[in-house]
Amino acid sequence: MRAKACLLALLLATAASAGCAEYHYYDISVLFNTMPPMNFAGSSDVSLVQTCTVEVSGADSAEFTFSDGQNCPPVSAGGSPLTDMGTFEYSSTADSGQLTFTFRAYVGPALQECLVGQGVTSVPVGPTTATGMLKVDRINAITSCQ
Amino acid sequence: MRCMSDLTPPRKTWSACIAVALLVTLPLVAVPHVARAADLGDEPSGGAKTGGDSVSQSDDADKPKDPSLLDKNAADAAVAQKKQADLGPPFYEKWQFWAIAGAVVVGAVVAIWAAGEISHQVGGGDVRPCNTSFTACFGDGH
Repeated sequence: MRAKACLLALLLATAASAGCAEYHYYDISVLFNTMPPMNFAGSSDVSLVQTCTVEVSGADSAEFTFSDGQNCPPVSAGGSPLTDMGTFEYSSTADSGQLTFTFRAYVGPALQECLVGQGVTSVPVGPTTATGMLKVDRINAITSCQ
Repeated sequence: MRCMSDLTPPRKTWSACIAVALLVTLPLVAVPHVARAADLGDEPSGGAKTGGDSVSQSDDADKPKDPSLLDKNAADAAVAQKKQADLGPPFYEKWQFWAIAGAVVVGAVVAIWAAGEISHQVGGGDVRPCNTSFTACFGDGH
């Protein structure tokens, strides 16, 4: 009887300490850098990008790829190439620390030899919605890969 | 043995032992013999005879004449029926059974739903919908 009471108390204490998770949202704007020295030569240069990936590290970890139709490479409604990729939102239940977003742009599949651009930004876990700016620099010459 | 004790005179001791042995042995020998004789329909030889007032079983006025009363199966069936009547209808014909069973089923369904809902809420609940102006939405809940 006493053991059961202790077990119940332990369960309640565990549940109380666990608490409830809460979503935090990170709205990250992505902009291809066209300013020297590490820059893309305008939107036409950016339009050569074929694959965009984001790696999340720090308080949370994830990796995802922008699929077709998710503005990679960025284009206007009329189909004109852009350097502003827009904003993506990442949701996480991490409640402390900071999240680091690493954006990578490839001129082919997501292979190291196809990597042409990269940008990193860190956002501390704080309010429900946090914003960040991610500037993608050109880190390699745009050449054909594969 | 106390019978062989040196403290008492041997003659008195032997007499007492024989008397006790007879008292113990006599009922043991006599009772089974009398009982066996009774089973066989004989009367014990030492018993009192009642003379001519004994009545044979075929002339027993107390014996029921109705064969249905003598039928053992019918009597057993009647007893079983009486027992069944005392117990009432089977449990599955009682409304209380179905009420309790229904309550248990509904309770189980509600408990499962509530557990899932609580688990979902503890895990953060529903993620907010993706803003249409965003390029994409990723992460937990998506």
